[in-house]
Amino acid sequence: MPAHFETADVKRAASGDHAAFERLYRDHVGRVYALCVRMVDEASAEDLTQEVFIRAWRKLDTFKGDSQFGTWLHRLAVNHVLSRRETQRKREARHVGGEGLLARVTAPTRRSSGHALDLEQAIRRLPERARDVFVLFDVEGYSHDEIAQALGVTVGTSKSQLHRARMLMREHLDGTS
Amino acid sequence: MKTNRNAHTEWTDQLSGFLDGDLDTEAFAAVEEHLAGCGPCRRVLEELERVVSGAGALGGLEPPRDLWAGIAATLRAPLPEPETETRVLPFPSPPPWR
Repeated sequence: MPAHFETADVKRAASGDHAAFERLYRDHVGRVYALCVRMVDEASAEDLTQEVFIRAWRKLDTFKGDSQFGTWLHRLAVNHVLSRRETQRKREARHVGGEGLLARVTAPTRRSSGHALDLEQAIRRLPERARDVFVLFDVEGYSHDEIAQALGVTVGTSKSQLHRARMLMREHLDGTS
Repeated sequence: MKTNRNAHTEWTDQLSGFLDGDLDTEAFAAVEEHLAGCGPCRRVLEELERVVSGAGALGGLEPPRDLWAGIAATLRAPLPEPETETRVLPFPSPPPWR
């Protein structure tokens, strides 16, 4: 969608236009859903994606247009995923043995193929922190400063986790070839 | 092919920084010089480059079903009542009849 159409749709949606918000949803759902799958798992990604768009709808009045809508939405998605995972972690700590967001699913992604499928599967095998940094830096293009801030770690930790993730990815992919 | 970890870790640990342009000039030159003479480390670098370029090329994923209906239903529903908070009343005013 051309940027000026999107800007107009954001304004319409902020004033309550569901049809405009649906167009924004259609344009961005693939990227938000992919982020949720890669940072959490397929089982939880649908719920998380819906929650992200509902939160975006409710927060549209805070979108000032300083960045692209997609950038704003994506940051909101990252924050929501991290926040939900933290909540789930606390809940599971109280109920040992419970299933939820942290229960990993190893079923292959049906919509990817070839090298991309291998990469998607290898991402799922990464330890959580390394996966977060890998997805945010190498897939999504965030800087180490931004990642450090989002994850509450130092820039040095972000860099070392990224290298760890890449080396593990390399080993996982080596094992699949 | 797996590299000998002990012999090469000192160098491979710097390869992400090398790829990302995150090393200072001196460290970059040292890694570059090592790579020129070390096949196993070059192989690791090539594999890391494949990981990085593959990750950068990953696109969006369409959810297996349309999620819009569920979102739209929530948008149409009235917002939930905010959680009731304990109200702190101001210092009591004198009754109006005084």
